[in-house]
Amino acid sequence: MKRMIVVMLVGFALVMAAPVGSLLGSSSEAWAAGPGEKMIKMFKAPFLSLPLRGFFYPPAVETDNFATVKVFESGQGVRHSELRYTFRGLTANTVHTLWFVNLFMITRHSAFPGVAPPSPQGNPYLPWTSGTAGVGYDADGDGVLTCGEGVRGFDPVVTTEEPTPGAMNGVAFGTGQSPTFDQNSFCTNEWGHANPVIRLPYDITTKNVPAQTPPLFQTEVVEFPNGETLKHRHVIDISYKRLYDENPDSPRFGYQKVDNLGRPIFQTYRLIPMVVCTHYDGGLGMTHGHHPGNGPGTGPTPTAFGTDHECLMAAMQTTQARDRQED
Amino acid sequence: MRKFGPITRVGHGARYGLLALTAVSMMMMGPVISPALAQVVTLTPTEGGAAMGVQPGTATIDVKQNGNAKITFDLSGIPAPNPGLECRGLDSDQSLLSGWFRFINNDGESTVNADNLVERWGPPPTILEDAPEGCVAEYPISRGRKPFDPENPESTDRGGGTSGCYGKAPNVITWSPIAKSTSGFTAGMGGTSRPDPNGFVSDTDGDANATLKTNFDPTDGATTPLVLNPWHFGSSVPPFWAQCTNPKVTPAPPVCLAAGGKLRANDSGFKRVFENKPFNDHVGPNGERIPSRIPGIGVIGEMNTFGEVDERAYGRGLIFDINGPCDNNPLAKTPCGPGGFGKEGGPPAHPAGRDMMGFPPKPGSAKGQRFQVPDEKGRQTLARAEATHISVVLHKDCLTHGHIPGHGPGIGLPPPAQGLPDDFVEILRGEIR
Repeated sequence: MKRMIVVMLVGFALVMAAPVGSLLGSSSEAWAAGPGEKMIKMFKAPFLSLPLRGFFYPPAVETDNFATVKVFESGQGVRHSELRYTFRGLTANTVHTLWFVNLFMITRHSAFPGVAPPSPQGNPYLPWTSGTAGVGYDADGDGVLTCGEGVRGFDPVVTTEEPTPGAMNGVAFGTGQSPTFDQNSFCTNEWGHANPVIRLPYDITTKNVPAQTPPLFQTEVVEFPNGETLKHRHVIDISYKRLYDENPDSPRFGYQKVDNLGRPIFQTYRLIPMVVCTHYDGGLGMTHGHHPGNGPGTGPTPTAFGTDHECLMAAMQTTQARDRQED
Repeated sequence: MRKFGPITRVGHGARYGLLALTAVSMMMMGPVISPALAQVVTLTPTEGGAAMGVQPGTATIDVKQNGNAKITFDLSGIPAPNPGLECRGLDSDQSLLSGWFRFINNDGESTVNADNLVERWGPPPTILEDAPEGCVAEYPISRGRKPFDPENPESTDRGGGTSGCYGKAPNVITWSPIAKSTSGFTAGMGGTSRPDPNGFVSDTDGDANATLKTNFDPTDGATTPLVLNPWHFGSSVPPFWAQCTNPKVTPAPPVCLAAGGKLRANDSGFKRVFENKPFNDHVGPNGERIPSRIPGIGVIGEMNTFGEVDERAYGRGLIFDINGPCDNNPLAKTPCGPGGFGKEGGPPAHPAGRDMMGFPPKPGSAKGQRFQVPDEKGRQTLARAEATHISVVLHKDCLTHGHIPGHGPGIGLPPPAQGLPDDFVEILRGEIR
């Protein structure tokens, strides 16, 4: 737990100290992204390695892995983000997931200080499979989804499709790619390379991004042939942090607050670092819905048995692009 | 909600011909027998549903030969939302519903034996004042416990019928959504505009005719996926007596006054199944093991790029080094050679002798890792139980709730610490034969 705190604080310090070099400075430098829409921010966000076990480790170093972040704004002031990642040398033919970390949620609001509740990338209003479908491709049609077949270096794009009120008859919706693909997932190719692209219905450089509550746990007792018995705790899915109407005079008192489309309004925080996680899961790779599982990178105290995934401790310099007036 | 499908236009003569042919066929061969196994579950209004005027309904289970099933609801008397609680995006008379499988016996108790599967884990209460030494505050889950009365702070009456801070509650809830286990759930984030896959709406006349599909046969024993008991979170609870009476603690800690998080149910996922497996189980397209170039990842005793994988490192590892893995393939960004991390011309080596940042081996990691168990299609294996009932839930807050319906009576959850309104109500229930 202490290591986690140190890592996150170091990451925070790094991103705060990042230069403000690549942010577009004026609207004249922006160019149109669509009808009535213009790009207002663009910057390259390199992934950094971070010390993991204390300050005596080598300092963070910029890697060849990065994201190109663009933020667009419509004439009505509605913003969305596009993140184009370039990953090289990750574990080959393996499922990975991308996550944001709400550092302020750790320090201010988390019931578990030192735990980083991750926010998955993707449209928060799109469905999640919670990993029950597995992840990957079925190029040979045998019904088995793996990252080792089919398209290499697949570029998942999370769409921002509008709700469809007419289709409400028990229909399971896809996630923008397929019902078997969690929104924040991608596969690496045989060289460990990938170029995922994710579009989000909000500006990731402000504090208005989805936050999540700490996770649920599943505890198991495992017996080994030698008679040794150990307890193991897994992280299960979590959901977005929700807000409730606390006005006793409101008809919806006690109910979740909703927006004009009837969708819940969720607690938001700023994003500080991004992380990328590799999912091992016996070679098949399963994402985990809202939460990638237990692990040193994003979860609570690592367990004795290890986990089904591990995460690259990297930070993204999103701080450099934040609006100064938001606070 | 009226649906329009493609229309095949044929002449009157052809229509009458087809009708006649069908009638003759039925007389010759008898009624057409569907390959599906159908069971009509009679849904009876619950006490709450009857109070709302909900009429008895049916849920017809059709099991296909491949084990998939669909459950078709025929409901009436569904009440419209109360004024001020209309569902945005729907007509003011329409209500949001969802279908659930239940795991309960005749007494309404859980049939799921899942003790110790889930560890209760929540924000610890804070001991407020003058706590005796050794006081350990825990949430009083039991329903009979009284809140702290500031008007009578010396009172020792804390309610009756309590036996511990953690009341008897099932770790796996007795509700499972009627939907494919691979469905994408919005966890209620879609509201009425995009309900969860077990959600549907009534029409303006208070009728509801919806079909929910599953990829399992709910009539075939223990086939219905389980969902976990929710985790509770919050930030503020009025002071309460933390009578720390965990029977396993002897002597019992002293009573103290505490406050803590507001208990609200959070969403949870399906109950999953795990197994021990060797860590380095990655395989390539042709089944070959992809040799890892990362220290700590590999098979004990075998060599990887950085040397022999020892037992201490087995089972742990990391994703990639700060320069990218040394790679001899032509596409590699960081070809092998001088300049790598810890190599000549490169940054200093890792103090632990590794070339990259990583997590140290954990005690017990040499035993292997715990992975979720995939099925034959690479999907997660889910713990399952036998569904006993079908229920219909009315969502008064116009939100479905992901895998679990949230707080409320009848789902085996402890009540919230505060008098929060029920955001849903079970209006119909029927037994699966």
